[in-house]
Amino acid sequence: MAMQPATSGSNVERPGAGTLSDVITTILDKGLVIDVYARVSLVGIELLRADVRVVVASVDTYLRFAEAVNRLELSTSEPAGLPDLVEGIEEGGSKKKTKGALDAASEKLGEVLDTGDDEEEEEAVESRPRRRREKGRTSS
Amino acid sequence: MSEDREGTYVYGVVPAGVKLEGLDRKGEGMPEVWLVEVGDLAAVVSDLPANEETATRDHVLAHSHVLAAIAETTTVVPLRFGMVFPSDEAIRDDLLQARHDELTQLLERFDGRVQVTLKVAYEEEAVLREILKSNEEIAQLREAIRDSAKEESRDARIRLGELVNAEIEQRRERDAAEILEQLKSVSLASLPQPAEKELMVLNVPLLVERKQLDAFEDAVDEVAKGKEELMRFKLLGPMPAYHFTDVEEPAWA
Repeated sequence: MAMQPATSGSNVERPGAGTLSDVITTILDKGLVIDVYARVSLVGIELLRADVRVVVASVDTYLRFAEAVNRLELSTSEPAGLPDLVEGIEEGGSKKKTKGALDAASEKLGEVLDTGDDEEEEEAVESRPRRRREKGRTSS
Repeated sequence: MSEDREGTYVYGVVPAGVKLEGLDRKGEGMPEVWLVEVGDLAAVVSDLPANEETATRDHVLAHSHVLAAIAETTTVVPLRFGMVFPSDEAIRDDLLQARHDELTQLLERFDGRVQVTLKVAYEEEAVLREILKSNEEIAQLREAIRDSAKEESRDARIRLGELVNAEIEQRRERDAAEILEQLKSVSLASLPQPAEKELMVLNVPLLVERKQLDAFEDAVDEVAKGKEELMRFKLLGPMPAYHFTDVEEPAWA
């Protein structure tokens, strides 16, 4: 089955069920619907999801890309000569930069959902120790 | 039903009599859940107290968390987030009995299968660097406007960004097809979704045999190998087949 150790050294992020933004963008409006019992107060959260998803290339997008391309100071035609800088960018680039982009959505959601502690947003569901409802409850 | 109870929240439907495993983790934010059964079907439910009718992050996460835990061992038809029934009778009558045939069909279709969702995005700097290297027109245009004042070169900048965007589109199409091709042999169906952000290469739920999960994960690792500078891979799941509840015959397009 496994041709190599599956996860060691893998560069695939595996957050399990996912963070809040993963859940909202991935599964929130999916699944079977029983219309009569769909609760508006609970479902209203979908509006947020629509916000997160819309990606339309516009003049703003173009200007942003142009800006980003212009910022690339390191000429790729001179591979030698700037080893330190190149190294720094490549390492930092893969981890930090995109994380910021992915975080943007969850930060925004954190605010709207009024949850207080935004830092926890990127945590995987499994590792969340927090629990808001501690009241004892009986089964049925 | 006591007065401080808003209703019963339903997560999904499983075959009656199944043992729910991995759900006894209240310390980790897992709500207490139980089954409401009738005939050969059962709904996985929990209480929704009266003061919690507004959706919070905890509700959203609990929904996903509970269903993911069930899907690890049991076939489950996920309900959409936010389904609240006034009573157990309503769950039996209006869900389990009224939708019996449809639910049974879905349970059969998902038997032994789970969904995983693969999200792939370009690292902006790396992809732009490659584009500059390979596209002469873009490289030249960039050189031409780099040192000009922003106001003067606005049109040229828009043009430059447009070209970059078109190039990204092309690469996205090519890379997405390549990645999907490599996952075909270890999955049953795929349902690519719209991109969530500009640099997204792929956003795709896949239906996978539970037994094939290891092979699938290995295949994803294989696909991602050597691409860490250029793309970021994220694999969500296993989870219930959320995206496939309204697909009659899940398959590869």
